[in-house]
Amino acid sequence: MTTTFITRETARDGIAALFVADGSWQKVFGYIPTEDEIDGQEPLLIIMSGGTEQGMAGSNMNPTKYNFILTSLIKMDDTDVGGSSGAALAENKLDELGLKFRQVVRDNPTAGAFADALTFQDNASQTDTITLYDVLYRTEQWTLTAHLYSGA
Amino acid sequence: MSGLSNMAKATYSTKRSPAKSSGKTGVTVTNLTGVKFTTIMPLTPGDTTVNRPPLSANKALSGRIKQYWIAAAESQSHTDSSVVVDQVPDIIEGDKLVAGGNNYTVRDAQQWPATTSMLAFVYLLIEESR
Repeated sequence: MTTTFITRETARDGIAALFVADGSWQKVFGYIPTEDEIDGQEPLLIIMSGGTEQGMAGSNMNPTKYNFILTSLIKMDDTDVGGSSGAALAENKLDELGLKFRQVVRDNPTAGAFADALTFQDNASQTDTITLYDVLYRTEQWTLTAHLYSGA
Repeated sequence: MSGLSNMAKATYSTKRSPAKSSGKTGVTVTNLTGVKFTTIMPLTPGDTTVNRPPLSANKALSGRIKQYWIAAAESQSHTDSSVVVDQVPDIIEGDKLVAGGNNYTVRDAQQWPATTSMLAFVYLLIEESR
């Protein structure tokens, strides 16, 4: 597969397209959205560029790995009105989307048409609780790598 | 209350997130229309040099100016989910106030006086949303 001259943006857009097609997230962003862009929607998946690993360049070879940080955000509803249901539902959704996330990567080992392979980095995902635009979210974050065997 | 009522001459609408469907929440939709409001005012008197409230702070993410404002909604006849009602406007934290083509996110909503009568106002702390 020829994957030369594919930019990291192209790979990021390609990864976003995989998760849009899956449909498990209400909205997928390839950047940090504004409050108006979120407009109350959830769950969200935010895909940001990570670092690039550049292999040794040679004749017809320029292996490249593009890393991406993917964060799933689930709104925690009603946790401030004396109930725990919002937190419980968010935790369940976090686990459900964690499974969906792994399924999407598993089902697209060759990363569609934008890279030679799509793999997890060999480390655990990170969960957290954050506030974005005054809204409380449970989050899970993964690092994905798009491999370009002869990229440039 | 009559003084504040005399100030409630602006007509704005609000938006709210719809109920979840299949575990997902879509974009906000129109909730109230035709609600009488006071003019949107700065939370505290502004800096006349730059014409913005002194409580403004730079948004860490965007670098834009973060501005807090206040407004009061009066209990007058209005439309709630397409139904005409006479009641205290149903506005809660997280709703959007749509005024003059701008969106303001409701950060806090408190009813005063604490009555269900038509004498009540809903005081809002709002922030410009972009």
